[in-house]
Amino acid sequence: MVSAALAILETDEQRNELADFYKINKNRFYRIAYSKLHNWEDAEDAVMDMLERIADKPNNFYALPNDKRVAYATVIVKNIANGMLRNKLKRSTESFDEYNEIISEISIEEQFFNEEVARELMEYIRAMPEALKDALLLKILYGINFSEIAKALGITETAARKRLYRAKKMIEDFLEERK
Amino acid sequence: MTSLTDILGEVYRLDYAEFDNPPKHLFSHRSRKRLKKILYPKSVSCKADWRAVSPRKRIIIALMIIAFMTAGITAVAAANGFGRKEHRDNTEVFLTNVENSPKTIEYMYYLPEIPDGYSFNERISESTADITIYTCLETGRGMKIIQRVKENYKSYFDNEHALLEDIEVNGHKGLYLKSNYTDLASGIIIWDNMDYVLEISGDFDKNTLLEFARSLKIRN
Repeated sequence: MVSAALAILETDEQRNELADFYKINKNRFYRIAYSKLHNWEDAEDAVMDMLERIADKPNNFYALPNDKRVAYATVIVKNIANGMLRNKLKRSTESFDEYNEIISEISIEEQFFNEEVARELMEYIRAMPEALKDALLLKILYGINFSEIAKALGITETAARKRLYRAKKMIEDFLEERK
Repeated sequence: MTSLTDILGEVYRLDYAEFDNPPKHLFSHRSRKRLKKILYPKSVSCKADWRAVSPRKRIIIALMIIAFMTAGITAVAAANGFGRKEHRDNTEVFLTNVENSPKTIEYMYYLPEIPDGYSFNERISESTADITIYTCLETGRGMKIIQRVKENYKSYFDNEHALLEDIEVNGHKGLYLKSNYTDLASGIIIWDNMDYVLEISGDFDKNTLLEFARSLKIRN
């Protein structure tokens, strides 16, 4: 798997761009991973795993504008750290991916909110489970497709669709309760 | 009015605000090795590997290569009795072994047969050098025979418009310089005869200069 990832970065330009990106932001990524894992070796591994995932599917990364690449990589490294923590603690957490539901389209992207509602919605989203929040960020904020979200988060495409659906459903329910 | 996209952007900013301006972490050697494998796997060309090296390390490596090359050139030249240091536009020539050589001119050399068309012009004798000058009657160009003590000997030869070549005079290592400058002698031979550094220069080809060098005799 690692050797397959190694072959994907095709040009020197891509490699150098990713190397520069890493150099500038490595401390940030490390701190994010460390905040979850509280172990420097695991945190470094999480950062390296994140780079491997980007290198494995570099088109998403290079298609993003520079200001969004950091956020994209941040979500990935945080998810990796969470996964490592779950494995370490052998903690079973709610698995959003196994929730059997009929996924229908929920459209909330086109809505606009006044100041008060926007503030409350922001706090509500911040308190959402991270797995759902990340799917929301990657799909709506960064416009990444499900196949690529799945790769970034290390899940199946179906699981990615389910997470986004649940996140949108939660927002929809929140807005409905406020009325 | 605020869109969902704007709200999500603010969510991200607030969630990760504590990680702005993080303290520096020195990644372990293990992680740095892994990083290199991710970015520059073995199948990539040497050019990509070079790019992975930091600028500071590139400079250090380049300086080391230059130093080794210089040492190599010096070492090769030293085997000939003359050491050489290549500068940008000249070659510095010095002697590698001056031990037990006379500190003053104790005996002098002369050219037993003066070349056709040349006549003796001048001789300058000092304690550490002896110079004999012949002049071509037709062109006015000079031919010199110079004998110097080995101690502190150093000469600089143009390497932009001249070629330095290893030669041998009576079993002693020497150098031949062919110059393209028209206002200087076109050929010079220098060699170390164990006691002194001898030099013959003039508008002659290498073989002719070698004949002159091999024919020099010690004055009675």
